[in-house]
Amino acid sequence: MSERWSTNDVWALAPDASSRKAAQKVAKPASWPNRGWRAADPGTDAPGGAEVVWGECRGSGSKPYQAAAHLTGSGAPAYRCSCPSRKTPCKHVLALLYLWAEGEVAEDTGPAWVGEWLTRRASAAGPRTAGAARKTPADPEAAARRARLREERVADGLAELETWLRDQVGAGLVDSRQKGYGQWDAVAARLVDAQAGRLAEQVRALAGAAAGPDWTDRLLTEYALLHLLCTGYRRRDELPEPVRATVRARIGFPPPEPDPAAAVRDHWHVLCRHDFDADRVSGRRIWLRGRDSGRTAMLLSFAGPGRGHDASIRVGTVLDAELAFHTAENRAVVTARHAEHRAAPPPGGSVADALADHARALAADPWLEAWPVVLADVVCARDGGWWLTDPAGESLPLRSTTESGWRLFGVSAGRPVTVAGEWTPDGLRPLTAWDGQGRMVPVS
Amino acid sequence: MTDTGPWHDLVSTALVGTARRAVPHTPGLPEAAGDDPAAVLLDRAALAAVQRRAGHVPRRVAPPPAAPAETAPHLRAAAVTRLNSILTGPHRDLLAEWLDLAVATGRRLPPELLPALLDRGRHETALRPALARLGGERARWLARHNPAWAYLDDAVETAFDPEEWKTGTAGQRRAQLAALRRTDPAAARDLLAETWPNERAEQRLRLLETFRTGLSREDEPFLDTALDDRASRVRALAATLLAQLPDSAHSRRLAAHAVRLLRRPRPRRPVEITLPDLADTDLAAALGVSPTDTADPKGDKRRERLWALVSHTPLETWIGHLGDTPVDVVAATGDWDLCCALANAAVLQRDRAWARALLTPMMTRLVNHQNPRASRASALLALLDAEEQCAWVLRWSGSRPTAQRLLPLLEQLDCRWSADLAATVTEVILDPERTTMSLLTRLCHHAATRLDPALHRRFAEAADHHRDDDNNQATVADLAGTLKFRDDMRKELM
Repeated sequence: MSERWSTNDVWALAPDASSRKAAQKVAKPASWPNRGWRAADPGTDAPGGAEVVWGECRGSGSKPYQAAAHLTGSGAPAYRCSCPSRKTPCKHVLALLYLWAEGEVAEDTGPAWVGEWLTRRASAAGPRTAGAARKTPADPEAAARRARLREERVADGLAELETWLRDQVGAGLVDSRQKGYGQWDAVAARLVDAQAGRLAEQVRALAGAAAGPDWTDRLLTEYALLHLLCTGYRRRDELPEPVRATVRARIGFPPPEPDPAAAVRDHWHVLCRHDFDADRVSGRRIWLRGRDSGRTAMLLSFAGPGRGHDASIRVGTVLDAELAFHTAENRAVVTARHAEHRAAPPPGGSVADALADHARALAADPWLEAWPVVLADVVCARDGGWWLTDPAGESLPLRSTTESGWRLFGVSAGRPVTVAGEWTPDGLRPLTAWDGQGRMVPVS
Repeated sequence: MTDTGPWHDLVSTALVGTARRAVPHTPGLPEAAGDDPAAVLLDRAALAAVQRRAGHVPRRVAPPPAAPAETAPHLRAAAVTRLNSILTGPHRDLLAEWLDLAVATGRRLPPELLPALLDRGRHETALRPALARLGGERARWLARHNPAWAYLDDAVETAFDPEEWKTGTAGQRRAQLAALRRTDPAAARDLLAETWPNERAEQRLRLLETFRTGLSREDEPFLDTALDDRASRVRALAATLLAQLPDSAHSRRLAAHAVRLLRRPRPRRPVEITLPDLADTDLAAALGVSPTDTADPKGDKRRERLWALVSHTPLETWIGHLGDTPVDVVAATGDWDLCCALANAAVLQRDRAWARALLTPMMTRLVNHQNPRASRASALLALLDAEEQCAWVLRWSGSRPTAQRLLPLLEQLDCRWSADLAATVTEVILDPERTTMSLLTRLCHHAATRLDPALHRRFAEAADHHRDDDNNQATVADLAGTLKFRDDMRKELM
C-alpha cells in the first residue's frame, strides 16, 4: 500500500486549467451526497489502500452523475463518469478525487454500478500482464514495406534540410533571420510531410532562438546541431547502436518497445517533474535516479487535448520498481511496481559535479536540451537574475519565472537547500527543493 | 561565456555568410574538412557548440546573508494545503479570515507561499498586519529584497531604532517614525521637522501620514507649515489632519468662512447658502488652493469650493448656528450636496453623533435611488461599532425583511454580523417567498463569508428539501459547501 494522494497529485491529473477550475466548483461535499472508497486487497500498491473511489454528483439534471476512479491494477488509474464531457478525467472525477484526498470520503463498498464497472474492466483487460503487451503487426510484409517507405521519405526530407541549412550559412545568418517566421514554418511543414515530426518541432522553435538578445550564438548553434543530426542520419549505418537510436529518436521515429526481460530493479528517487506543451498535446517528463544503480531514467508521456497524465509516480517518493529502458535518451517505462516510500532528499552534488555529469550525458547525446541535476547545499542568490551557489562558491543561473525565483529564494533564505531540476542551455529550471529540515517543496 | 576564440570567429563568419568570407580554423577541435565551405562551417560549429555547452563555466554569485532563525513552529500540513487551495481556488475571498484564524495559532507560514501572499498584500492592505505576524522573520527578510513588498515593515509593530531612521529605506524610515509616533508623538514630530526640508514629496506625504496616530494640538504649528507645502497632496493631508483638531487656528479660520456662507436666519426654514467668491484669497489660502477669477456661470466651481470648506470645517461649528443638535441640523439641510458634504466631514472627523444623524437621509437615498454619491453611507456606517451597525441594518430592513430590502444594506456593511442579523439573513435565505433566484445568489454570496460556519449542516439539510427548485437548491448547497470549507478551515487552525 502506498500513501493516499495529496490534492496536488489530484490536480496534476487535470487535462487543462479550465477543467481544474470547473472541478474546484464541483468539489463540495454537498454536491456528493453518496460517495465512498472501496478497499483494495492488502499487499497491493493501492494509494491509501483504496482500489476504487466512487461517488454520485448532483448536477443540473434529475439523475446524478456516476463518477469513479480505479486506482490499482493494470491500466490504472482509469476513470469513468456518466456525464457527457469528453475530457478524461472529467471535472466530476477530479472533484471526487480531490474530496478523497482531502479526507472527505469514507470507506464504503458502494452501489451496484461500481462493482459492475470493475467487473467490466477486469474482463476487458483479459489475461493482460503488467507492462506493455508486445504488438505484433497483422501483416509483417506490409509493415516492412511501410517502414522502408518511411526511411526513404525521411532521407529525402533531411537531404532537403541539409541543403537549406548550407544555403543559410552561405548567404549569412543576418539574411536568414530577416526572412522571419514564414521560412522556418515552411521548412517544418516539409519535415512533417517527410514524417520527421520531432525534427519539425525543433525547426519551428527556431523563431524563438532568433528572437533573443544572443540570437547570433543561438541560431548558429541550432543550425549546426540540425546539420549534425542530418549528417548522423545519412551515416546511420556506420554509427554505434546507442548513437543511431538517439539520432532516430530525435528525428521522430517511434522507439522500439524496450525489452522487459532486461528491466532494472532499483529504489528510484523520483526527482522532479516538468510539464511542457508539444504540438497540440501536453507532454510530461518525470526524472528518476536509481539509488543503487545511479542510473538516470526519464518517464515521458503525452496527453491529447482534454486528457490527463498518469499521476501515479509522485515527486519526492522513492519507488521500488522495475524499469525497462529504451536505447536512447534514458527513456524508460515502469514494468513492475513493488512499493513506494516517502523519502528524505535525494543525494546531490556540487555545481562542478552537475556540470561534469551533464558533459558526460552530452557526449552520448549532443542534442540534449534538458538533463536532471540534483544540487546539494546550494543557496539561492540574486544578481540580475536568480542563481544557485554551492559551498565552493560556484553558481549556476536559473531560467525561471519571477514567481518561482522568489519562491526558491524564500525557501532558501540564505541557507543551504537541496534543489532538483533540469539543466538546459538557458540555465537551470528548478522543479523541486528540499529545505534544511528535509521538507519537500515544489518550486516550479 | 567567453565570446572570443574559435566560436567567436565561426559566428562572425556565419553572420556575413561563407560566400563572402573564408571558414575560420578551430584550433583545439578536430578539423572537419570538405568541399562545401558552408558544410565545413556547420561541422566545425557543431563541435564548437557542443564543446561550449559541455564546458559551461560557472560564475560566482555571493549568496545573501541568511534570514534570522524562526522561533514559531510551522503551520500544520492540513492548514497549509487549505491555504494553497484558497490561493489558487475559488475561495480567494476567504484569505482574510484564514489569516486571522492562523494568527491565533502562534504558528507561521511556510516560506514557499510567502511570495504569493505578499503579492496579495500589495493591493489588499487589510491583510498586512496578519501577514506581518504570520510571516515571521522570513517574510521581513524577503520583503527587504523586493521593493514591492516594502509595506511589510510598516505592518510590523517594532520599537523605535534611531539608526534605522537615519539610514533605512523609505519604508523602514516610515515604519520607525510610526513606531515612535505611537509612544512619543512629540519626539517623532521633532525628528521629522529636522529632515522635513530634505525629504522628497512622495516621502513627505508618507511620513506625514504617521501623524494620524497621537494627533494633538501640539502638532498644529508643524501642520500649519505643511499647509504651504509645494505638493498638493501634502497640503490636502495637512488640512485633513488639522480638521481633526477642532480648536486649531486653522479650524477656526475655516469655521469663520463657513458660518458666513451657511446661515439659518429663520428657525423653521431650511439653511440658506451663499456661494463663495473664487477670488477670495483668504478662503483659498485657508483651503490650501489658489484663488482664481475664472468664469463660473453655473456656479459649479463655487459649489465645489463650498463643499471642500464644509468637509474640513469642524462639525461642532454648526451646533447653535444652524441647529441645536446634529439631527436638527441635518433636518434643516434642504440641499442634498450639503448633506453629502456634512457626511464627508463626519467621516473625515470620525464623529459618531453626526454619523448617526446623517445615516438616515444617506441610506434612504441609497436604498431608494441607488445614488452612487451616497457611497459615503458605508463609511458613515463603519464609524459605529459592529453591533450598532447590524442594528441599523435590521431597523432599516423592516419587520419582515426581503432579500430585495436587505441586500443593498448588507452591501454597505463591512463588519462581523450580530447574532440577530445572521438569524434574519438565514430566515430570508430559507424562505422562497422572500427572495428571487438572482437575489438569492447575491445574498448567499454575502452570507457565505459572514455566517457562522457551524450552520453548514442546516443549509445542507435545507438544500435537500429545496428539491423542487434545482437552481435555488444548488445555490443553497453552494453556500453550505463554503460554510463547510470554513468550518474545516477553523478546525484545522484550532
